[in-house]
Amino acid sequence: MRLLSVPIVISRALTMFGSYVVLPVLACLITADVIMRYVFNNPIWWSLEASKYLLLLFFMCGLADSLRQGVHIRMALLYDRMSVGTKRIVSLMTAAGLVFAFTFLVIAAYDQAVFRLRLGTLTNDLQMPLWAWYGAIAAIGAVVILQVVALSIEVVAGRREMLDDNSHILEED
Amino acid sequence: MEPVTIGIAGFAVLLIFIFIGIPIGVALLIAGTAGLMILENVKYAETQLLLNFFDQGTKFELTAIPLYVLMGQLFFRTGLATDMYGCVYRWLGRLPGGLAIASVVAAAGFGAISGGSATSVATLGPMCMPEMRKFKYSGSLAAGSIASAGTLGILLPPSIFMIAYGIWTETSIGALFIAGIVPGILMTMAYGAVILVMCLVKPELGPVGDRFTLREKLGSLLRLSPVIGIFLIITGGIYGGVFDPTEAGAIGVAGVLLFAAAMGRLNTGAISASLRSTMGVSVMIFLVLYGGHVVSRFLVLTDLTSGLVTWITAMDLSPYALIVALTVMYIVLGMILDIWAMLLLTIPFVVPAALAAGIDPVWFGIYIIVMCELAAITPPVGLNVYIMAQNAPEVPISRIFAGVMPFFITSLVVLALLTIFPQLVLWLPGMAAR
Repeated sequence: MRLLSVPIVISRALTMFGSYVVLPVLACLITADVIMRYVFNNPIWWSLEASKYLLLLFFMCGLADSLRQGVHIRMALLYDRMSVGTKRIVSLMTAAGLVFAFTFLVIAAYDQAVFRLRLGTLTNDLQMPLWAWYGAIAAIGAVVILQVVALSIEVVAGRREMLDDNSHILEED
Repeated sequence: MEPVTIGIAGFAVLLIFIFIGIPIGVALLIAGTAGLMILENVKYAETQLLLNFFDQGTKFELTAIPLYVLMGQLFFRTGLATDMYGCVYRWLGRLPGGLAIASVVAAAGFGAISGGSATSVATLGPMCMPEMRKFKYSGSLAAGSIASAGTLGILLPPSIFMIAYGIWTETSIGALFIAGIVPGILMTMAYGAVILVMCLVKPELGPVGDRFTLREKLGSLLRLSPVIGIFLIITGGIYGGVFDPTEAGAIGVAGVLLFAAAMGRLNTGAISASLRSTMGVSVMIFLVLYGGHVVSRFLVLTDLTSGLVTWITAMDLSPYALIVALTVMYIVLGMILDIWAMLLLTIPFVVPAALAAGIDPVWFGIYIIVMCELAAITPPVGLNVYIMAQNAPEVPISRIFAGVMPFFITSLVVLALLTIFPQLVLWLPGMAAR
């Protein structure tokens, strides 16, 4: 069971990094660019590209943990009336679907990272290697898959009702 | 199997996924991925998933979403929203139904800072309900007015749904923001007028509140300055072409932080909680938009989208007839679907049809937002009503739904006005474009 907590710990750390580092840096950079442009007539030339990639990093950081936090909206009309067993089945269907889609994403991102590495392509302004960004997408996708698998095992083992923590944790460690 | 048949089957599976409670973003992603795989091949599906992930994740306009969510969170958690309600309450509380009117005006003010609907209700519910309870307001009116007023948050700029609509349809987000101002003010006034009339006819629905001296009232005006200041900076900056809506979000965050710091409200707990909540909400919206784009790509390949648009266009409906038909459709959809699902599942079909009928995309954006407002309070799904029910456990849900009905009808009347006089929506963006 300790192994199952590894992806959860990683995804939590990523969320902390995204919330407390990436988001403030993103907000500060855009504000600074506006100030530099209008007050000092000297815009930050790399601001737009940096903002775009910070946004991508921000979303990637929060993705895996968001599945455990239960922030994703769902139609509650039928769901709230379901038995615990039916909710478990819906949770496992959700997990299977996520693993299915994110496996596709990971494979495509990995292929693209290898391709970009061979090609040596860089971003326009900051000259960042593009392979690193595609590699990061593949890595984050893998964390999402591991997180979903770990949570699903807990659902199957009867330790939680749903993938997210809004559900009642049935049994403590 | 014909692509259209696969499209219909995929759409049906998607609806089933949504109805059984699979998170909407995940349902869109699964249906879209499976559809692309069946229609084309595994490699194509993989490529589309990566392309959309990268394109959406690096879309500069999307930066507006975390920034506006953060602005609203900071505004709420630093107590500036409570201050604003305190001021409005002092000025309007002595009117018949004044506390309910105050909650409507406060919701509009909160909407001018935050971009969501549910957040407004979650913020204002705990603030406004105790006061209305104290003065023995009708539970139905009290809870109904707050649940309905919360919807003003998505009509008044900045609005998360306007950003999504703008990105989705490639309509200017700045123009949408500016276009929402007059309808938002009209809606606020109409909601206030409805409460006033109801309480004049039946005074027991909303007795008058506490009396305040002119000194107290004038003193409270200072508390409105953050809302007015930030709203003017955002809309004035966009209107004047100083910055775009995304940059306005960052400036707004800086503005809230400065106001909160100046008023001694800034603390690490509020900032930390705001940052964490912003992450959750932003990722939720990202997944919905990402899944929506994937499913949209699938539907385009099936020709289902173009087929439906051709079918609607072939009916040769006048713009008014089309709007009436769409309004009926959206009211029905609002009864069964969440706002995001309703928006993402219909936009690919209805926007091209509306444009083909000669309807302005900015006007149509405001129309869609009003329909989303209605969906937030329509039984049995209306999310705002359920959030309100948590803050007013003494009022049965059925009575809250009854309480929102006057506002539902009022929204339709305002919508009719906007349809008959489209300049109410298009005048301000037209002026800004000059």
